[in-house]
Amino acid sequence: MKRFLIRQAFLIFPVALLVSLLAFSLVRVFPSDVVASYLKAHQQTYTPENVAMVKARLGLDKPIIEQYFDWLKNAARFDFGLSYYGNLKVSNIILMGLKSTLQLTMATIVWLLAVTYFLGVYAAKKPNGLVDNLSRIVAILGNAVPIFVVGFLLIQIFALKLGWLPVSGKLSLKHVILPSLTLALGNICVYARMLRNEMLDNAEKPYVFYAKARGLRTPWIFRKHVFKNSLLPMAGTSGICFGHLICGSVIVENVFAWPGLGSIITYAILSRNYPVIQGYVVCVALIFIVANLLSDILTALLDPRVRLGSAL
Amino acid sequence: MGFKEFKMRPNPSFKPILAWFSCLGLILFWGCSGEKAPETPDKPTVPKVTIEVAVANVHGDFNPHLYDADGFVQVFLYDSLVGQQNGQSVPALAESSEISKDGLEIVFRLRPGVKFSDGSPFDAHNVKKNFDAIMSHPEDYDWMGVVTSMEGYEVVNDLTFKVTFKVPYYAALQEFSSARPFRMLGEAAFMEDGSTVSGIKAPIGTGPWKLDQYESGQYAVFSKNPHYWGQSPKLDGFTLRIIPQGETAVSSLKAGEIDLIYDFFESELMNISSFEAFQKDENFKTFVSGPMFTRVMTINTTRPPLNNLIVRKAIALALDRENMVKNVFHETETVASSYFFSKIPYCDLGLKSYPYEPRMARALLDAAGWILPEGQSVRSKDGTPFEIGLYYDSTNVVHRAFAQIIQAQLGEVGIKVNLTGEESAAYLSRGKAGDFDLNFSVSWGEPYDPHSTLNGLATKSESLDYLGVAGLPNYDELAQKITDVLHETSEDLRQETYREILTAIHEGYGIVPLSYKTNRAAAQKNLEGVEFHFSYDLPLSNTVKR
Repeated sequence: MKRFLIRQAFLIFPVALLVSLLAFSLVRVFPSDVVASYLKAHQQTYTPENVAMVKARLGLDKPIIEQYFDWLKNAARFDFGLSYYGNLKVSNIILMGLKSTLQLTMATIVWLLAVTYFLGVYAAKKPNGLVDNLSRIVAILGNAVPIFVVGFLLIQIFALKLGWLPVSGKLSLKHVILPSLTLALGNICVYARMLRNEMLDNAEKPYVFYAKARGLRTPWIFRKHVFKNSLLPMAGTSGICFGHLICGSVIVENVFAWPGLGSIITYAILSRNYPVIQGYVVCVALIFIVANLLSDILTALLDPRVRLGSAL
Repeated sequence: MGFKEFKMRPNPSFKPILAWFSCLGLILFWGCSGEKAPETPDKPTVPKVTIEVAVANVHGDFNPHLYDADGFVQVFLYDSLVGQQNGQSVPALAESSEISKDGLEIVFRLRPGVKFSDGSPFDAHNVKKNFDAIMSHPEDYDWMGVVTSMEGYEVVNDLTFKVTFKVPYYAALQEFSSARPFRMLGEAAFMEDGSTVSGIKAPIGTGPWKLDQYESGQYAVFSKNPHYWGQSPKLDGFTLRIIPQGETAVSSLKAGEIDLIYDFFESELMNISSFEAFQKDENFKTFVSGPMFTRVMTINTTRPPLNNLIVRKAIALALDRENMVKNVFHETETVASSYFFSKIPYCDLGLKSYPYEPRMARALLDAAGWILPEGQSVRSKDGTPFEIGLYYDSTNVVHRAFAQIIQAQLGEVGIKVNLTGEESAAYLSRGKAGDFDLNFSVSWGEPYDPHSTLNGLATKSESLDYLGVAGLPNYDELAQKITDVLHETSEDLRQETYREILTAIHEGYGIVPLSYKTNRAAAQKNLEGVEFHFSYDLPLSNTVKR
């Protein structure tokens, strides 16, 4: 396990380096140039003197390699400079947004675990029964209907018609319910079907029959073997799922005016706020990397074959 | 053996899941309970009669001297020496402002007894400190003639401040009244070195409101400034709720979570159909301003075949602008007859709106040699089809709607228009590089019009409209007049020069006025006194909640 962890941890560095290169180059391939965006943000005119001043201020007059290493050195300390708007540190903006997005993601995971467990287990218990059919319908709808439509539908029903929940903002615990449910729906569909299919699949496996023959009690077999083994594929994809929840929150955060990373990056892209865009790309990539690492560890904990290297 | 044969408990590993839920719940509770709602009654800073206003964003550090803060927020918190109303300068922090006959000196007599929101006194020394901070980096304001023309400034006595100029600049008072940078910050808010360019310590101003709380990306809470020198606002305070999505803002107003949506500048927080729905709904009130600035279509006068005046005139006459504006805005905006509306200083010239004359447009195109071959729909000249490109900002719904109508209407007279929608920054870059045949632009609006918008036409790098006049045969003379009029001290000569400039632009057919932009607001029924000022402004001082 120790060797496994060290190997996985070492794999982070080349990926992180690649991401940094990508984030750095991103702003240089956009159709509008950095200097024009900076001058626009500061309402300065595009004169040769101003262009030279901004280039010097942003270090753009140095050779590109030097620019990259300067940027990398600062990025390694989580310093992405100042936002073009508001004179704020990009790292502070990102951290503030990340906190809100993580809260939204956590709430989404609560929905995900609760509903996936309910739909998956009960659908597997009675294939083609009421819950199974319900989960199938939810799966189709959840994947077919765009997320912003789901968001506005939920607002229409729970906020405008019934008046139970607030429409927008992040002012109380109640405000997290609708955005997190919207974000969870698409994933619930996938995971509930996955859990149901895995459980039905595992129930047919010889080890279940063998365990039964050994005289083990059914709930014990279910808990220790069938359910645990059925979680394996889900554990494997949970890292990507977590990353997707963080990134996928862009639309949901905008629909519900949730002040997270999604709202920040939308505004940064629209206003060509390059330091924020770079900070976001690096931050989200790191979240993906760490989440994947954690999901590998989870898989290894659940499956000894992975731990011992035979499945890698 | 089937799975159904198990007689299992439905919650085989309930305990770990319960543990998960507890952990996540705790994290959530910790996180969300940390964000206190602005309406929480036990919070001491929240005022009594308040309203919630939806805005697309509230930026930054509330610095009065930089562009990082929003103009409307700067106007809430800080005052300028002079104000602007109906094209005239009105007193603000200065009771009077005297301009010398040669236009090289302005003496401001400051209002006595004015205090900042922290209770500290305002005087000429404070004005100087603000000017010092602003003029330490004049390059940030190089588009303002008042900055580039300024020679110096000094404190005459505690309540008198004098500004001197290298050359006369008639629009100085207009520019001193703008949202930034000449707004006064309290002594305690400056950085240790007396600057503000790297930030301010606190938003201390003399404005009608003071900032109580700001949560980035969520809300900003304002209350009455107890030391305000003018008429105190009627509300005790208000909260700006940041809702970037228009549909969400509309839903929030319907649900009663907010009291007011104020759609100003080009925030597009409330589209026309939503606004009209509120107009028809008796549970809400709606408000529409007068003209704020002008939406125009720029014809690139430097490119053939658009460098031909007859062709440009034909294009202008082929457009049914009246119907176009009605289709896009219904009754909320009106067709523009000239580059600037009559309320703008020096612009009440009675210039005639371009008529809709498709027959004459066809005749003009024929006269210019662009003939419509039998059985074809596109005119051509010497084998070259009349095909031009119209570029627009694809994120701007008004651009898109106008572009489609223009394409159809010019198609009627045999001009093929190719539409290209681009994202905002690329669109702006293309406009500045001059790589277009037709595109869209806007004038700046009060208090910058007409001088700032026109000044952009005289310098290549400044304006998207520049190419709408750059190809005119008398462009150099026009540009010189635009520059000279800024330094003209005679009111009559200035009016005459503006008449010449604006007539030349109007008769050049390179800038086609489309509509006069309005600001719009929708509010709960119990809200009164919703007003409009400048295009970027959100005046709430006379708003009342019944």
